[in-house]
Amino acid sequence: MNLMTWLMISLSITLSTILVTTSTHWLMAWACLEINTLSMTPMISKPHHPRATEAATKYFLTQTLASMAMLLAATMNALNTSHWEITLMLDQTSTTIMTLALMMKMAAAPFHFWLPEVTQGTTTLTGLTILTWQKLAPMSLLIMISDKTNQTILLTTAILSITLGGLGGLNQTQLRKLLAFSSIAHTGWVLSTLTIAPNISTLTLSIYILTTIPIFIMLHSTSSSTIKDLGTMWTTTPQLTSALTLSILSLGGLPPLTGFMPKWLILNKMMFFNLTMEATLMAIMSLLSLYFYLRLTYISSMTLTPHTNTMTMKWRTNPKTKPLMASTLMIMSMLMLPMTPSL
Amino acid sequence: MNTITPTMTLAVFLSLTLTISKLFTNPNLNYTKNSLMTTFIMSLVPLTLLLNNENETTLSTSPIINTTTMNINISFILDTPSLTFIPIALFVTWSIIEFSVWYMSTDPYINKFIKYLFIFLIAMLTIITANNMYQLFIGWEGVGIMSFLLIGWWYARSDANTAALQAIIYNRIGDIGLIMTTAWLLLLSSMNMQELFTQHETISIIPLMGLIAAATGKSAQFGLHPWLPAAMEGPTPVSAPLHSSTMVVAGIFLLIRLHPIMQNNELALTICLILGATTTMFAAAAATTQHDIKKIIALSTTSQLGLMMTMIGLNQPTLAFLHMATHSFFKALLFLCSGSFIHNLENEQDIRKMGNLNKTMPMTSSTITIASLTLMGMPFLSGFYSKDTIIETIMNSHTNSWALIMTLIATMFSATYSMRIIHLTLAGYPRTKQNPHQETKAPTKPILRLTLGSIFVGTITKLSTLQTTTMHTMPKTIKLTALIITLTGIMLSTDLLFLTTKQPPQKPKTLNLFFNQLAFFNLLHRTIPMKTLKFSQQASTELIDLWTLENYGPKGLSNTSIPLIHMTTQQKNLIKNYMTTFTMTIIITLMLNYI
Amino acid sequence: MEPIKITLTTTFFIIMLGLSTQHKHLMLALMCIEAMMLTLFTMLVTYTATSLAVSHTPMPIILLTISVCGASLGLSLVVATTRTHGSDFLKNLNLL
Repeated sequence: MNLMTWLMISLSITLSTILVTTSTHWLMAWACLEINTLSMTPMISKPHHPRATEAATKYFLTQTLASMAMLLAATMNALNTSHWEITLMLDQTSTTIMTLALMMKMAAAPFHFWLPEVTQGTTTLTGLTILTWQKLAPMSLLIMISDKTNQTILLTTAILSITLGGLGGLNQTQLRKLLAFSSIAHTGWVLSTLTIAPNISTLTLSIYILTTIPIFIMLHSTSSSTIKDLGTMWTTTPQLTSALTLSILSLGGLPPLTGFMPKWLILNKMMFFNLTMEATLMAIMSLLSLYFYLRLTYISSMTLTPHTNTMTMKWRTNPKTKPLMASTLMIMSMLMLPMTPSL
Repeated sequence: MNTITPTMTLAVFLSLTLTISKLFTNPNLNYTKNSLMTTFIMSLVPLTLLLNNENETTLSTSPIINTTTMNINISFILDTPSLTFIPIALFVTWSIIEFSVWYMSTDPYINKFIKYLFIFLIAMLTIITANNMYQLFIGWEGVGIMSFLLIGWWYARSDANTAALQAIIYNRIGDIGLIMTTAWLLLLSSMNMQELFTQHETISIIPLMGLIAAATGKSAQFGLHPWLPAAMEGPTPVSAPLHSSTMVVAGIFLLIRLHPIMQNNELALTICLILGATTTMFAAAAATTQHDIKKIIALSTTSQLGLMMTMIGLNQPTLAFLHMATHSFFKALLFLCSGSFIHNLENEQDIRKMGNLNKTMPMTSSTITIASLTLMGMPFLSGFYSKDTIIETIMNSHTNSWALIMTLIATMFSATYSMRIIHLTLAGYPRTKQNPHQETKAPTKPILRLTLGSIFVGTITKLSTLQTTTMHTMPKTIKLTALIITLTGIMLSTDLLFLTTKQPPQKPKTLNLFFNQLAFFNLLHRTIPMKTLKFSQQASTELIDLWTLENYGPKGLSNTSIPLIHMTTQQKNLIKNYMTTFTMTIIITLMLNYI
Repeated sequence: MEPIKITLTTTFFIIMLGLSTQHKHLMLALMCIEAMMLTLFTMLVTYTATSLAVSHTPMPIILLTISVCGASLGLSLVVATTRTHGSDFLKNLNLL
């Protein structure tokens, strides 16, 4: 890709997201989201491969459909109440449509199907962008309308996302799809406290992003795309492989690691609001995700797979990037639990 | 205040421990017997003081564990039974260890073996001197574990392993009783012996039954008897301390020690009496039918233990203790002599294959004869003083004539099997290839020392403690019953043994088989656990492994989640489906909103 | 006012259903999207016509501009799909 084009596209991706988070007018938010989609699509279709084109098409169609529904909701709200303010979604019907459309953009279940495929179809780093950065804009809009949204819809979606994210990941061998399913499950956790404590949702999303970035950087630098590749990852960077194990466990939310913090806070908050059944269900369903995280750690560091000679030859090629960023973020993704009170 | 007694007793414990630790660095074993001799002489000092002053001491440390209800501390009781039995145990073990250094000299792990014997001894001394139930329990389990290790010494033989397991399992049944009693006393009374004895009026039958069960297990009374003959799979120097002064007398010693709390309970005493009489009769009868020399001696131990139990049932713990003391000497001697024979005959233990040993081993032959005579209760040997008194006491008591008859028959049988050993091993012609070794100092010195003990200990005890004999008037027949019965037994056995050489071989009678197979304990003791275990295994396999786990456990979980996984990932990658889902969800949600 | 609103919303949903259920050509999907966009455009025009504020007037134009951008991207995706998959059938998009 041309450097200028790349610069232009990435700038518009960044800017549009920032503008969405700062806008107050629905049309402005919609326009920025549309610009975001329009610039993300060429990013996805960057590799000249049928898969990339297909991923771009799917991404474009689903996102456009969601945008249409969004704008419809905004227009209906304006027609009924004459308000274009984001925080003034007074119409019940349009709020519901808006919530569902934003969930489609965030890939929460049951609108999550496009996410694993799009992530699989593109490069690792673009996949990382889709899983992390692209969630910020719809998330900020959801938070802005969070006091009007229907809690039943959010909780149903949350539980469905956690369940489907867990179940879908169980059958995967492709790492990017697997992490996409993990992202779906985390979206569920984010959505669960959106109405009762939006700050915890923000924290959950930030910690999810913080934990996912080093994992994706590791996958990128070792060119791993399937679970099988994790088995030979130690030949490239043995230290980072063991750290990766802990990062994955942190993603799964095991206690001494950072990932435990959001789950802890969410479950606590939900208990506080008498949502014990839902909290229990979510905790149980997240065990499904934990199962495939454990499978990843098992393959990457607890066992030695039977190798042929050529498979261990990976050390001959140099790692693509310096692991400085990955290692810094990994430390954060592992050791931030003691900082919980100050966050 | 007399500080010599506790000091010397603690010094005995300390020097035994030091000997064990020295064994780790010094592989030379000769000093072990010397140190045991020293400790024996040391332990004589408190005994002398006791006989002189008749004062009993208890020695308690400050509490180790403080609880709200009671404190736990180390506490020793130094009274007549403990101070008398410590020198006996040390003397017997001294001889046995000297013998085993010779007997086991080719064993590669002899060092470990001696260490085990020492720990065995220390555990027994802990039982004897324990002043609270915890300490007693520690010693109790100590002898249990050490007997397991020692019986299974030749661990490569499956028989030895089975016997060791059998010992620990039968003992475990008794241990449950002891634990139950300890817990009961902890709740309702006290752990401390002195405090315990003052409450003898309030003791219920349940903890006493626990005590009797413990004694039954440890002392191999009828019902839990099979482990003792089986324990003969261990080396002979193990059987000697196991049967004389340590393991098996611990059960009787427990009852002697805790006798004050059971003396007023008629039911418990009657149970002891019946149990003891049954055991002594049954074991003596079984001993006459065995052919393995060690098994005969083992069953004779069971019989003598039954006699001690009978005495406890008759409310005479002192007599039981006296018999326990004299029995230690001649039983250890019998085992050492039989060990010598077995060594001589290249590990042949069947008395039918022995014979003519008085030519090759005259000294050992004469000592085993002395030991057997002591066992029979020959006048003025040490067994006489205890056994004769016991039978006299039973004759004069008016408790239970059934128990009396049983005991008398057992006495007769004891003469019979002792004569059988003497006849078949010493007299006649050699019936198997012999590999005679010289009766060197190493094996004969301990044997001779124990012989002296067997001859004189009764007399010494009589002279030192019972100087004032009260006058009894009784008919001559009653006074001489024990002797008459023994002589009858000797004559009968001599005649029968003579007859068997003239008669054609016969098929064994059912009664013979019954006693030879130890009352067919296999049927009960093996079938019931076998059936129970088989049933439980089958039930657990079918209910848990094949049903619960398969349908509802991990397997069931995976079985239920697999269709779910397939369902969620079954979307054929078609973009149309995704959009349909979205549209339909919006429409359905809106409809739900309006309804 | 009310009949117009109901008509437009119903039109939008019907087109949306059409988009979701049709599975032949990508081109047809894009045309459905354009139709939805036009419905929205009409709604916005209705809104600006009834609204008294002048600042709302450029909103339909902004919408049209962005929808044209989207349409052009969609068309380029049709080209790309045709080049990589041989046709623009939505059924062919099943590699992932």
